Amino acid sequence: MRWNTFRPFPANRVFLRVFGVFGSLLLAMAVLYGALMVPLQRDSLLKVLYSQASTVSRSIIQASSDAMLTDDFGFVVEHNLQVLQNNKSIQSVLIVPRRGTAISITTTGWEMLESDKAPIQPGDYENESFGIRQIPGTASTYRYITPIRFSGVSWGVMRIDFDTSDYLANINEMIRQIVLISLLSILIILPVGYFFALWLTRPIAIISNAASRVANGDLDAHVDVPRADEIGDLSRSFNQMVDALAENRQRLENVNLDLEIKVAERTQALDELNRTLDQRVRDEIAKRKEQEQLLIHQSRLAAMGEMIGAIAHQWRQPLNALSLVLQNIALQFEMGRLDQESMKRLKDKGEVMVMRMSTTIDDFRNFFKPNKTAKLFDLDTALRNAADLLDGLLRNHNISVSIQSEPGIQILGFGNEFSQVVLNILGNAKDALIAHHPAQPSIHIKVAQTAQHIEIRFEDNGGGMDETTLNKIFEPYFTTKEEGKGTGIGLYMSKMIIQNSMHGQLRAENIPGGACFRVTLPIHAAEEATAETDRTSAVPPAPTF
Amino acid sequence: MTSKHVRAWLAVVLLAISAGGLHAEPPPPMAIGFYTPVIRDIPRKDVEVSLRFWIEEMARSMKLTYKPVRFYDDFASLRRDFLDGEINFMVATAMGIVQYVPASAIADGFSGYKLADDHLVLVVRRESGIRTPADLAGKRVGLLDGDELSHIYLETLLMQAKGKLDWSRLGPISYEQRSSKLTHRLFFGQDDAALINRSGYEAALALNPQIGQKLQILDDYSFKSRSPHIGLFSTSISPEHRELIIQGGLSLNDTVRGQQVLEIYHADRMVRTPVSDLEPYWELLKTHRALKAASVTKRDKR
Repeated sequence: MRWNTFRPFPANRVFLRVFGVFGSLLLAMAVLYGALMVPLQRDSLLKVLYSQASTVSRSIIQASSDAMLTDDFGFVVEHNLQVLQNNKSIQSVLIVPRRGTAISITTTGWEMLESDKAPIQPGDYENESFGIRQIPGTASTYRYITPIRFSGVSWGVMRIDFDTSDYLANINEMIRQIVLISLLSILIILPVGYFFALWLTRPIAIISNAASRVANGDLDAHVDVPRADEIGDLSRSFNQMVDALAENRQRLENVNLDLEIKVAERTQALDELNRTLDQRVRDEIAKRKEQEQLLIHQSRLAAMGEMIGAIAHQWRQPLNALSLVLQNIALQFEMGRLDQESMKRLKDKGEVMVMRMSTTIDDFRNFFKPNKTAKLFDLDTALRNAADLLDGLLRNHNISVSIQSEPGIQILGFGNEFSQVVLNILGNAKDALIAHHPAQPSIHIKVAQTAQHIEIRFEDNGGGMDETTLNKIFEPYFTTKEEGKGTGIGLYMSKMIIQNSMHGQLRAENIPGGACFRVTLPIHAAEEATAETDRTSAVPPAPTF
Repeated sequence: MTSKHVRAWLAVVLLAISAGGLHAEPPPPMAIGFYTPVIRDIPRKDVEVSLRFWIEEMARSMKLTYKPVRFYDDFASLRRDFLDGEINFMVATAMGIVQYVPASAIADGFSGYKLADDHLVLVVRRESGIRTPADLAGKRVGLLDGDELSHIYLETLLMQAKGKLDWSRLGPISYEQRSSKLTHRLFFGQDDAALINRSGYEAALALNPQIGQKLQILDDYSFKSRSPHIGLFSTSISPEHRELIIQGGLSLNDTVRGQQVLEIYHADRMVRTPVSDLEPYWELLKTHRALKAASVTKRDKR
């Protein structure tokens, strides 16, 4: 769209409005100017007339004062004839004394009147009176009447009529000039306003037209407004905007095309997914169950391994003693000193050993036997029994265990499972102490009770854990131990037991020189069953193998 | 003297200046003297401004040389400068000229002329009972201030009526600059009789017809003359130059420009003013002197 596409009367609304407002303002200003100026000028001219009348009257009275006081009316007539001759705007002067004859002087002559027959009387005018009067037979007249006083005493009254033709001519001339100026201004300013409005609105119309084309999808619409102002900037910005729109539209079309292809692919994949989703869900559930079974199995195996290890360790001493009994039997037999009494004493001794070994198996089997229902158990007893099970192993590594607890703290839950948790934590601490080799390896078990919770802290000086280990310590199959020495299941199962079975929490944190596993159990369970004490629950269950 | 007379004389002066430029040989610079009682009805400043304006305009158009117009309040100075050649054209009262200027020093001139007679008339209040100059005894009389003619004519009337000059037999004498003022004094009863220029009286009468009801002119005792003022050349200017300038002045009657000038000065036409126009004044002066001499003789005989 070209700038030089000239139309003398563009039909766009902006032009019409701008031009209309411009013209209306102009006309309003002209009318307002006239409406204000004419009364102002009229008042101003009236003031001039008043000033002139006042001055003339004072001049006449001053010049004629002596003559008036001495009844020298000849002088009064002479003087006023001179005044009228020298001042063409004065039509007449009427002087009416309180006594004597009145004198009326006009431009064509003068006459003497009887005072009582004069048209004005001194007593009627204590103050000056003035204004434009319409006198029959004449044009409008400015009449000024003033009392004549000498030393405060009234002498008479004087009336001066002024010709208003100059005044009217000035008014008419002023109105004519105002009209002329207004018309001239309109004649000058209207074309200026026309070209101004055209100059202002035509580029707007061009841009508006182009914008409409763009709005209708024609991105080839460009404007050419070669101006170095904001409108020129606007046109250039508009062109840039249109170019950017075209580019973006092309880009959008490409993106849309890609999206359509991807949507088609995804739709196809989704259809396929929908078709196989049920099967996959079933597969995942089955896999999950299989993993859980595997985990349970592994947990059992681990427990069995631990139990077997513990049994083996417990059996080591009675087996040695039993071996010594057997060696004594053989030795005494070779030496011929195996008599009835010795045989019985050695047999009883061997039976004691075998009974101890059998008791050990029962102890372990009871300890690992899962509880079927939640029961109250004594926390202190449970902690000490679990520690006793590992006592031999810990002592072999010079690991000391201290328990700061008070008897009588009852916990509602599954005692054997809690014991498994304690065993797992102690076993984990034992492994860390063995790996870290502190000078005095130790494990401290501390029980603290608050109004709402019971907190059991297992603190060791085994060096603690790094950040990664600390974050993953309770994840299943996570272990830092060598291949074959750790399953990565113990702490995971411990956390599950504390959270799910006992509604508590198990956390791990580093402390100076080691690690701390913190078990927090709700105390309400203990309060609810204070009276119910099941000491047998603290007894380690029989192994479930 | 009325304003119309004065304007007529101003026209004369201007025309004299313009006419001088027409002579083959350059005339001497025009040097005009103006006796101010001639212009008693017009403000002197107005006369000076208008006269200079017209002289300058005429001088530029006709390449005429001139001296500034001189105004004289006393006739002795006017006479001196006229006789000494400082001025070579004068506009003055006819009575003043016959009294103070030798006839041998004056030559014909020209001036604006009003067709109606402009005599010096004796006006009286009807109620005063004055019918002849003899009735002026004990009456208040008004005269034009500084007017030689009024003074000499009143003395002549009184001497003719009573045979001798006795001012003491008159009432108070008032002097006014203008005839209209004297008329008004008569009208309002401040004077009983006055010597007034007829034009002035008639002008006042035109403004107020009531004046005619109270005042009357004693025509039998009027002084008949062509005009109370006159413009005359000095004999120091050659007759050829005088005639050339006079003809130039008279030619204003036939030109539009001239009519405009006459209109401004309220003159009806431009006329030659010969020295013979002074005859009535010479006669009056001669009679006055004779009566005065006789009056003195009678007084001495007593």
